Amino acid sequence: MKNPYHQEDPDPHVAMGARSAWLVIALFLAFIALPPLYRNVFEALRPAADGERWVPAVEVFNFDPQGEKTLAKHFQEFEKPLDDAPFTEPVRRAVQRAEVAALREGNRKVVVGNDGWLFYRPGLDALAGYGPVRPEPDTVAKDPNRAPWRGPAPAIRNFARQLREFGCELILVPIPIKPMIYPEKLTGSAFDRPLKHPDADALYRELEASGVRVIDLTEILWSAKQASPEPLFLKTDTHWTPEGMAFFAATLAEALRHRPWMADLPADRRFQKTEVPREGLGDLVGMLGLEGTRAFEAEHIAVREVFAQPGGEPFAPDPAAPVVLLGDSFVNIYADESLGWGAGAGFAAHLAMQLGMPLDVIARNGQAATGVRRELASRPEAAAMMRQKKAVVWALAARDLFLSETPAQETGVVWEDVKFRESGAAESPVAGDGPVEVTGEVIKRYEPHDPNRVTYQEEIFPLEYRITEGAGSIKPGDTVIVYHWAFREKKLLPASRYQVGDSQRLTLVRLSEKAELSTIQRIEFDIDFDAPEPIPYWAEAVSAPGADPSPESEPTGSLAFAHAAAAGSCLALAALAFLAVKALRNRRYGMWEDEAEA
Amino acid sequence: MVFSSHIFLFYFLPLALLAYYATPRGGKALVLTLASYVFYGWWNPWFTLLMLASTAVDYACGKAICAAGASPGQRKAGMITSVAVNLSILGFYKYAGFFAGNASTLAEMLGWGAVQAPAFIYQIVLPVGISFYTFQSMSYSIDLYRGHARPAPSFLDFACYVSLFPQLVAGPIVRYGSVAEQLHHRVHTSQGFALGIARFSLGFAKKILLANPMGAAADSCFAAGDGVLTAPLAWLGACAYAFQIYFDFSAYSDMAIGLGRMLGFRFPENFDSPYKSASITEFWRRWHISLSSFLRDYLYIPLGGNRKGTARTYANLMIVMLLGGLWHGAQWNYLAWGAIHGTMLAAERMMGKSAFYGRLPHALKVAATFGILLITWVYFRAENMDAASRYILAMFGQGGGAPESAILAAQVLRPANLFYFVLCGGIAFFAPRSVAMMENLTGRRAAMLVGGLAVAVAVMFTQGFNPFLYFQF
Repeated sequence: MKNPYHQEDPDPHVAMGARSAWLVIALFLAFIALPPLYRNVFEALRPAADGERWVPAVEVFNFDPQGEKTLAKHFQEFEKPLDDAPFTEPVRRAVQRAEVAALREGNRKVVVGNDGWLFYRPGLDALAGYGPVRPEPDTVAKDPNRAPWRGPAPAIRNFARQLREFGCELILVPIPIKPMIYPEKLTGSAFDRPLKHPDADALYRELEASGVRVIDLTEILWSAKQASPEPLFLKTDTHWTPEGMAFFAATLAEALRHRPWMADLPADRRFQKTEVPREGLGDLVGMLGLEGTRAFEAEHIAVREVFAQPGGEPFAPDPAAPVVLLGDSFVNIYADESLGWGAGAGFAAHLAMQLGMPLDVIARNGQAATGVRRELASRPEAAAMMRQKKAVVWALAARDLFLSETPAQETGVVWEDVKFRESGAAESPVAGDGPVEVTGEVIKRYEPHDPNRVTYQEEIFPLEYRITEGAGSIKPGDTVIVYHWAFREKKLLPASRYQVGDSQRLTLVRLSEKAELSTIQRIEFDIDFDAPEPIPYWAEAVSAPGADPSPESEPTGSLAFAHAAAAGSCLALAALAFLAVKALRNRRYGMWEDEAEA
Repeated sequence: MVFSSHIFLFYFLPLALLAYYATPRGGKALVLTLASYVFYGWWNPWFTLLMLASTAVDYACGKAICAAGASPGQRKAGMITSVAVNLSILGFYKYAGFFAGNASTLAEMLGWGAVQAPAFIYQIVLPVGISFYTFQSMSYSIDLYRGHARPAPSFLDFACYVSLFPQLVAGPIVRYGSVAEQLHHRVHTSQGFALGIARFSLGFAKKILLANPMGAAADSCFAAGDGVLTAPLAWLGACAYAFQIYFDFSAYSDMAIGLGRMLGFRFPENFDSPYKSASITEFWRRWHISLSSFLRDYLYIPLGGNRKGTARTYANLMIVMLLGGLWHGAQWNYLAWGAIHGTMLAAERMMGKSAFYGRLPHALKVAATFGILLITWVYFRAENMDAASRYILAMFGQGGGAPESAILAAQVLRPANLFYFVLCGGIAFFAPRSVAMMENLTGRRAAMLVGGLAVAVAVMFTQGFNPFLYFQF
């Protein structure tokens, strides 16, 4: 029977013989089959970090139909570590290096500018994209069940209102980002004013009208740039230089001195600063995945470390101070070792020195929109504490205010309301008296981010456990929140794969005792602001029940055997395939009808 | 599962090929069907039930249509049931929210007060590829009813046809009649397999090396804030999108055809260098050929085609293009896109299937056609009618001027993008079509294309998640 609408298409003539065709097939099959085979054999034979073997391909069958997770979600999670296969890393790095060298091309996170200047791409979106006044339109292409997007204005207004009720003033300080002050390093053309998102002034006016004091120092920083021989921003980093930061701190301090509540506060603290040289590569080089290469030159800077006088103690936040500084990595840079530029010389220290008074500081990298407010509001008896404060200075990258829905979601910027806790802290069974060993079953899992879709290198995340074997005052049946590493240096760690129902032997310490984790990106656990503050713990070591606990990190040691076995498996498969094809071709198997040699 | 993903390339494909070729001839349809259901169920396993239901209904309808001694009425009832069920599935998942929203707006405009549809209507998730497989499945019953095909000998054969993973979610739309024979008897040759590899590699490279960079440039322009988009940038953004959608969609078709070839199938071509067209009429002969021929055969001709007078012909063209627009998405901007194409087709029909600029030199006709297409693509790409209108105004100088335009310009006019613009333009306007590139394929050229695949995979590692544009339809 003939279909009258049958489409006649040309059938290309193949001018290759059977042998050539088989070579092409072998090349292709080797390309798609050997890397996963190598990886799975290698993972199966490498030393395990936590007493458990993890074979990527087998994980697809590790699904609990009775669990909370859907099968579709399980498949998505199965895919994540596959994308992160170790063999992709050197390839990714080589391609990126070639793209930077040949075409000055960055990646999804970084744009390469002129003269070795790098720019964080979401920062550019925050200048030229949709903004808070005309938000990103909705479309059928978006997931209809996604969380509704809230821009910054409602959350800021609500926060200001809450603070007003405590008798505390909110001062919003949008920190100008690099392309606002150095647009010529990206565009090559000269500008006579700093760049801002076209909605910026309208948003600031709207916030001012609703009682939020906005101190926008963009113009002043622009003027300083014209006068300063030193750059105010690092070439290869998202953040400012020590000069830019110090200037901004001095200017902000000057603006704060004119606030009415300042008159009541003594400005009698003395600090001393010491210049220390440092060198390094900025975070943007890391986002390109080119750290450790010579693609970019190290930057040499001089930071000013701040010490209290008398005593010479390094600057430290004072939770009892009347002014709270909330901030992000602009506040943390030069104060947080994990950002790569050392500690002791951050924005808070310089602001305190300029003001001559102590500061209460909450600064979290990338979480100035909600995370820092959440931390402030969830402190024990936060409401009572805030009645003692005079002001909250909220210094955050202006970028966060102007990202529209899609780039905001990609960078993890969310604007949520918070509620100040009236109650005190829950009693801690592990109150700073050393680690305890318990066994628990995972009863709730918080989803870590995909390391390839976020800009930071490390993340910790919480799991909720029900204790099955207690120790000290942690009793069987207790529920505890335990933080683990989700990933480090972009590599997912074993805990990221723990599922509800898994049992683990844990060595716990209070999270608050791990000062080195305070600035690491973290997934928040659900907070009930009306209940006593739960004590989150840190899993110092983890193991399967019955085994010796081991630190949560990738194991070290010789991997040669695993590599050799993986390579051997690939060779064996190739040999088997060759023999099978030969046998098939000889028997013809009713399947292959090779055309004559061309 | 997405072709341009780690899971597909390094896990699904080798395992599927291994299972397929390790299975004796009699079991191949089953293996292929199971692999296709795994492929499709990867997005949401529940949606495989929907596909299975659609398949079962159409198979049963086919049985009814071809039953010995079936009366014309029974045959017609079978066909109508199949069409009604498929359109209902499509209507529920794709158009319920659109119609409910517009009905609510209309009711308010007419002063009938707020008529709210249940909230779940607006939260229905569109199953990937539903527009493609419902059309395919439905075409089976229609072809049987018309006597253009024989019924599938078994449910498995039919399920295999509907679910074939290479072309399941984004075409080409393969009609049952064109693969019925191949479902039973396929010739597997090493040369055919190598040809499939070459075609798949070409498609993969097009997607990663051309479509994705152009997509990033287009995204920047279409996401520009108020006052940022200048006229030149707006045109460049539309141009970037035109290249993105062409290289993305034709890449998918290349990969589908290549995968089909690896499995012994020959699927119809879907593109014929569409941007070389000198009129919109010619464009529709070259663009998404499997959809345009589907609409021609199953909609335009049944509506009367050009057999019922001039006015009716124009009306039919408009109806077909409006529904073609709506097929792409349940939004007014897709309808506007269809309306512009329908108007152009009718106008060209009035002028003897020639563009109103038909007397210009050929190069200028091609340029003019591309210019018109750029405007229509704005309606296709923009999030909604308001966004499309603002973008069109920006194209004609009513947009930016803010200094922040320089930031957008710096992103769009990066050296790499300029390189890709030139490359895409060169290929779109001057290179032969994909199938012609496969002509006289030698082992060396095929191996080079596999090398191109390796380069594209390496670049893919530096890119993020990159689904195909047509998945959303």
